[in-house]
Amino acid sequence: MCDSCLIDVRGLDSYYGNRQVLFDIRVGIPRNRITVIMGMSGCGKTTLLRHLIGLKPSPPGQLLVDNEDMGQFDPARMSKFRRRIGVLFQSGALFNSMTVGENVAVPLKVHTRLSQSTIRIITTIKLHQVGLSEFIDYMPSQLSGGMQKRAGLARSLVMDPEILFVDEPSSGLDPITAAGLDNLILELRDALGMTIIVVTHELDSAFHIADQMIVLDAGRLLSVGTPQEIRASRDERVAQFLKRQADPKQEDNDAYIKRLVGERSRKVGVQ
Amino acid sequence: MLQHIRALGAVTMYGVGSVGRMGIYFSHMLRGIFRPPGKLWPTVKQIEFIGARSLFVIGFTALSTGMVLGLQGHYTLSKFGSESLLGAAVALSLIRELGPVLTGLMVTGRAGSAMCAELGIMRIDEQIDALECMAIDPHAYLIAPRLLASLIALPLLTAFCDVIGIFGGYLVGVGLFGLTPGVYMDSVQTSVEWQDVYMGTVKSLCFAVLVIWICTYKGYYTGVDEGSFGPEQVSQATTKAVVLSSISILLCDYIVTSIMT
Amino acid sequence: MPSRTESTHSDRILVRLEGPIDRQTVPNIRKELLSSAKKSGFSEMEIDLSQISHLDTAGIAMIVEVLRTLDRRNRKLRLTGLNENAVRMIRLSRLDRIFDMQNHSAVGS
Repeated sequence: MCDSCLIDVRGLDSYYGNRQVLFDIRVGIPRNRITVIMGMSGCGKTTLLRHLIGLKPSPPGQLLVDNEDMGQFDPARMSKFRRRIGVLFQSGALFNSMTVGENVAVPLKVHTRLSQSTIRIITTIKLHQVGLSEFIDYMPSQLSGGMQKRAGLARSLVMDPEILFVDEPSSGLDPITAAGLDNLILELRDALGMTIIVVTHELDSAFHIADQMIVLDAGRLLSVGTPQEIRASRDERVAQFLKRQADPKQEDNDAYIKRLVGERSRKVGVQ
Repeated sequence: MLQHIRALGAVTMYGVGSVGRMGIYFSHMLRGIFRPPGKLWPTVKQIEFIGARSLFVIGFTALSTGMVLGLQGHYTLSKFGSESLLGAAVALSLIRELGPVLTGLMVTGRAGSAMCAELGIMRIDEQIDALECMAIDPHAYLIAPRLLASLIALPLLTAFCDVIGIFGGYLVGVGLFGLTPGVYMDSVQTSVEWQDVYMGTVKSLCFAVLVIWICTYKGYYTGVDEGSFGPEQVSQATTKAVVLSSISILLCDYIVTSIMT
Repeated sequence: MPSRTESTHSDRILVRLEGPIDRQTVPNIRKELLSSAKKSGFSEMEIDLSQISHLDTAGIAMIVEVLRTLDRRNRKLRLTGLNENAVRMIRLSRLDRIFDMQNHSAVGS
């Protein structure tokens, strides 16, 4: 489907128990570009992200990385994949019992033989990139939610990953800091050719950084394209999503009134 | 009717699945001991958490238990005119039975519940996911040090409990009932054999494994079955962990005692 | 495999690095580089990076450590032979103020 793509999603279906949350998702993630996955809350974008990073197992043949089937990865192969990636979780996911600096240094401590002083310098550089270098010895609980998220970003970048996954970067941040993070993401793509996948519902940020946008709606692929293509889309649902309007279809209203008033409303002719 | 059968089937499947998952977790926990990252420093920190911080609780429990044993023991033994055997009665009860069991239960309540809560919070905050995505095995990084620490700390705490308890019995026997100190200590020495200490140590090692296995398992899988990851799930997991761990300790106690007697 | 060659001219030490300078190779080169920086009898160290294949943040960190060691002894560090990748890494690490960047070389103080 997309041979030059880094990640190729080929008809991915996803379930939580018996409930299907993703329906036949077909999309390619290009290399060295920023791909933004967007949609309303509950549309399945976080589930898709979990499949892409291997946290939710994918059925064989439905998710390819570098033309290899992730559904058939054994633990060793998955471990190799994870050393190429950095992931920023929505809350930052910092470990509560360590300082910010120790948190950022965890991958270095476990996977490399670098000395303590080298690690300290790398940690300082990464924290400086996200604007937190003075907080290197603070505990996570002493930081605000937005700062914890930035520290988490520093940790995800500490091994200079090829691929970066970011779950809701702007949530909990003020507009200035959020814009700063957006610019950092752009710089990472430009300076290092990093492939970046961002899940967000902030439209402004998405249009600012995206090379490719993937719009999901209720577990299905609504639209894929460049920001210009998405903006110019003739699909009504895409246009509504962009205008942040609720679906004006009447069905939900009817069901609501029926529940309130009872079946008699039909006979009485209530709209 | 069909609904009830379906529900029964679902519950059974869930139960069997859970047991299986606990077994797999156990093997991951053991395997984690032999995989990177390095264990020395994390294990030492956990020994401090599980062992050192439990000293006061264990000491207090041991002292009061020893004193009660002294009271009850003297009452019973005096019916047969055997008050001089008080030391033996207290020491054997503690070393073979009460030392390991009370230590296991206290550590469950103190350290086991704390560990379960800590892991549960990590689970709901996606910290365990973060470790996996950094190619770090959470069992090796988080759980194995706790298991190793527990295997070292619990036998030591049990020994501490035994000693303080015997002293508690001494306080009551000698201080309250006027036994000769030499008689008390002599009956301890003559009646306690290596078999008894061995039994107590084996029990404390078994309990060490049970406490960590059950409490960390419950914390690690917080919210996973319900699909809901919030504080409510953490407190539920912690309660279940303490109850299950305590029951398992008592059951295991009977099994080991009957095997080794 | 990275390698390091060193030569001395009057009061300058020239070190030429080859191969990848990243988190896997830095532990091997770092000690020797730092002990060179601590030697006596020179006022400037030049590190020629024209032959390196790859530079990551760990490599940058090692260079910063060398700079710090030299700075404590009032010596200068000059980086030469910087390619696009190296310049970008220095900028990304926000170190372009510490290093005086001038076409393919940088002087640190």
